[in-house]
Amino acid sequence: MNVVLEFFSYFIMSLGCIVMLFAALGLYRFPDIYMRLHSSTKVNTGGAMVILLGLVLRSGISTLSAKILVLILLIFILTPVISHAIARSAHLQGKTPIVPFASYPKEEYEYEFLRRK
Amino acid sequence: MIIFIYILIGIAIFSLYRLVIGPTIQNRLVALSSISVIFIVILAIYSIQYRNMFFLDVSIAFLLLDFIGIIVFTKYLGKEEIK
Repeated sequence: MNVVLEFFSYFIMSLGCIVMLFAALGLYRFPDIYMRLHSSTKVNTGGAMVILLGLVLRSGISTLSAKILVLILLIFILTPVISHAIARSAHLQGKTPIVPFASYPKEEYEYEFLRRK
Repeated sequence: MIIFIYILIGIAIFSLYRLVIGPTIQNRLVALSSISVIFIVILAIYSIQYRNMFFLDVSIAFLLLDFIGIIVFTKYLGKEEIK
């Protein structure tokens, strides 16, 4: 039982590390601030929550795991708020995204994307 | 367990690139929030590994401080443009 739980916690933590590596790769690779937000912040939140969940599985029922659950809740609430505030400040400064908004008609959307490329 | 700390430090150094040569301030803020989340996870792993409850308190306080700092900074950036 305990060995299975420990193996599962290692598996889920390595999964979270791979997800956070993809977040850093998107932060390095994407061309625009909005794309970097889309890649980095959501993926980072998910990876951090998965790693902390693996820590809870490893730690068992104790005060440490209760504090880590509080930390998971705080990350789940606060990190998207940070992302939204950064995107709002970039929008108020007048930065337009490279890819145009999806509310355009379909043909115009594809034409605009190809033209900018 | 310690190997995850090394992997996360490598990821943080890899995303430090965007913090150094980001074209605008928003790019640097994105990289900063990413690095702070990675730092919080590193503190939690260290705390579980050595059974020390002190670092978990430090990580919760660090998360709240990071949140308040970035919110204040983005408020300032938005208001600067409205004028």
